[in-house]
Amino acid sequence: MFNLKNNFQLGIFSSLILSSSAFALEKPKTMDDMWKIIEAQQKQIEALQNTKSLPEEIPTKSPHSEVKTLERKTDILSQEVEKLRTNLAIPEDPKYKSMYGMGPAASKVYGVTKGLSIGGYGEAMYSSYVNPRGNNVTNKDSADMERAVIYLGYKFNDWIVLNNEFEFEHATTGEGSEEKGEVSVEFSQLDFLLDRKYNIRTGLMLMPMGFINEMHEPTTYHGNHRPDTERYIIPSTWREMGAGLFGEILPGVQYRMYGVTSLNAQGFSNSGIVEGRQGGSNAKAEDFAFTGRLDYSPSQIPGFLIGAATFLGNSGQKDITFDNKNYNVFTQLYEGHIQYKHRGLELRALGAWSHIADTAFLNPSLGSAGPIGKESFGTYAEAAYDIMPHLWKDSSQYLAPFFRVERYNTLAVVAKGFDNSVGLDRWIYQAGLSYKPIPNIVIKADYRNIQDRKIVPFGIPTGDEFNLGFGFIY
Amino acid sequence: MRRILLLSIFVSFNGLADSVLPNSKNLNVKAQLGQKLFFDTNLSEPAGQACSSCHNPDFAFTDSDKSQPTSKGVNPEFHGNRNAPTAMYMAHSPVFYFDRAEGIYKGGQFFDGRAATLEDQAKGPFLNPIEMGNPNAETVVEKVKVASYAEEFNAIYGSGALNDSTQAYNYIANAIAEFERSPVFNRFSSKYDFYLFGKATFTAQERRGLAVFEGKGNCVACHSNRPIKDTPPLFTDFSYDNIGVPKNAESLFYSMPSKFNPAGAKFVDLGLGGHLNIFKDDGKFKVPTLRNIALTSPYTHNGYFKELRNVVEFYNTRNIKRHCANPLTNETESLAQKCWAIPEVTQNVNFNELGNLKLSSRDIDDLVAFLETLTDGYGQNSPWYLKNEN
Repeated sequence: MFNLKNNFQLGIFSSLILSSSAFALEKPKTMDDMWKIIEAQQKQIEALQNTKSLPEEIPTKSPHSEVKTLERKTDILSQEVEKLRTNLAIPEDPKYKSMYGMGPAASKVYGVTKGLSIGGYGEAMYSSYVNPRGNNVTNKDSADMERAVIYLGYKFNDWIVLNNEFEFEHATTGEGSEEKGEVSVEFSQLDFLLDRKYNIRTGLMLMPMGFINEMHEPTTYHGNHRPDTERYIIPSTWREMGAGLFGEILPGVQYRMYGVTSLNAQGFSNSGIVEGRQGGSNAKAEDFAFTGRLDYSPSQIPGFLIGAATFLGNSGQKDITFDNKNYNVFTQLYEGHIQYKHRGLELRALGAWSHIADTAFLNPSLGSAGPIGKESFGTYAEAAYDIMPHLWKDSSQYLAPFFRVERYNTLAVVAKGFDNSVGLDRWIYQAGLSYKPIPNIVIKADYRNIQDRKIVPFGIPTGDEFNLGFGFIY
Repeated sequence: MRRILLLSIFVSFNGLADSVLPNSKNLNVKAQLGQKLFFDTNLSEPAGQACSSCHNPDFAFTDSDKSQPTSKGVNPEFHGNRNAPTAMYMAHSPVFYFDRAEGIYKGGQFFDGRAATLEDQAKGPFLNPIEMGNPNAETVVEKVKVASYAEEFNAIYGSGALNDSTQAYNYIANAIAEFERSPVFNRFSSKYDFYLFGKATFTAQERRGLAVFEGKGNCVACHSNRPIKDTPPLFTDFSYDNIGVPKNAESLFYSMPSKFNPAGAKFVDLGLGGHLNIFKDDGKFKVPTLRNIALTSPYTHNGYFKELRNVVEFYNTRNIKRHCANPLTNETESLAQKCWAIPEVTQNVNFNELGNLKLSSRDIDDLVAFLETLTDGYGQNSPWYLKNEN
């Protein structure tokens, strides 16, 4: 018995399957489209439910099971709608491409259509000191989960993007007087993407200095430790509160220029300006600074980048007084950098120089943590080459030996009369390996030969070291 | 010798003080009055003992008599139980308090913090039966009333300032405290101060010593050597610690009459714990400033150490040398026997921050050389006063 009514029902069913198939192939683009489909399906379900009886001769497809199937599909569709509604869109296959000067994982949020983006990176290392310095805690071998970082970005729409980096350093914040880790907002910036040439950025922002500060994900540089020049001469990770512009002003010419809270000179030391960073933590805002960067990467020479950056501002924050006078401690930091990547060859070099005014009036406040260098400089050059294609022709893995030579001096010039016998005045020769089984994961080994020319400030390890570690981005 | 010194101080009090005492020019009137009280040997019972008798400005306001671990009292047969500490820089000690964050007591005056403020402290020695021997405050006030400077109280504290003995005693204490707050007691003029201003150069040994002080020596854990805001380095955090100093059998206090020392030879100085009656603070004494440390021997609360180098050596090896068979072994014999006598109070000894510093002999020499840069008077005027001029 196969009557018209049954034929009609099968027809509806077939069309439903077809429509479902069509939906499977082409997902609705908006919530409205989705709702239309759901409403249509709901009507069909109701129509089926209104059918009083079905012939027992058709055992293969009972109306009851069809209804169940439809309900299940409706549930799935509803879940899809919920997903759209909550805008939770984690791309299944994100592209790790550096954008606007940020690291590859930090750039993920720019790639999403809308909503939340989650990423992160981490790095851990074992450090072994060749020359233990007595009972000094600084030269004790250590194993450290140095950084575990979460990126949480939110794309409000196609032109307003919030990007955050929350960092856990040294694994725990601990308690008591032991040296433990810290939790920090490394950056929290709002980008208003207006035009290729002009975009606005505000919030707690990374200073656009050097290679490392903005792009400090472990897969982007060689060696377990960041180059010392980009730790002590150009602090990293260095962020300040402020606002500014960024964009690509000409083809291949990118810029960033911000007005930010300046450094706090009372944190300076004979190790440099690094502890003068304010990090947006109740930052003193009596003095502001300008920071700007220009990079050129011509399309004619793929892999080539040349650029420079500066930071200029008073660091006194109206706190440095002497004999009833206020001193501004005008701080200038300049750097130039160049990079070339071609067929597995990676070359990178950077030079930085700083000048700080009024140090004679600042130094007494620093006590024996001072004096601060009136001038300091740092420079390094490195070369790496991916040898994996020569070892394993069809592999997409990466294995690059590298070599870096570094020279820096935090106290190149000090104010007249001040102690110049202490500080970081170093040559570092470093060699190592970076191995990436996939681009997101790196395993690093390196050896640093460190040659000091001055008394090393307390708290900083001395002598050669071997480092073994890993890093990841996601 | 002691009498000659006292005489010279008395002479200086009678008109030469300004030229003798560094930084005593331009003192305010209260401090000037305090200075007169401080050097007045008529204020003891019997007369002859002033504050300055045990706090001599030539020795950074400690006792000039280095032959005994504790000072002689107004009766030279009597000796106190504790080594007279320097009165310098004590104005910077905060009012005695419990630091909740660190869970420890800080500040106050005396080795055990029993006086909360400088004023409270100044009232103590006048009435101490060994030190100045006055039976009560009225006796002190009566002596002040007949002093040449008595009129100054009326000018400073108001007419009839000395009429009410309770109030008058407060004024006396206030004037002395004001003197102790003056630059005379807060000179900040050591070589280290000038070094921080780029006006003195450290020798290589002194510079190495500074590195030991901040590094291996871990001295900075309690003797902070860096300025805090506008306050120059004070070389103390005004906390309390039991560093495990042995009993000092050379102290004459053990043989004092029972009215002064009922426990006799069994006397144990509990320090902060004794004052608070808290067991976990037994044996703790206030961390002293290291400014002028080269002038302030003997060292530690009971004057056990006569030599600065030996104190450093004790900090360096307290945990690793064996205990001397005799708990009353003195400093010299301990060194000769390569042992240390057990602490006078064995509980609450600080093992975390000192006791096994692993300093070499050269490190110790360097450290002592650095400590010797902390003596005031390297330059006449403190560079800090110029900096902090407001």
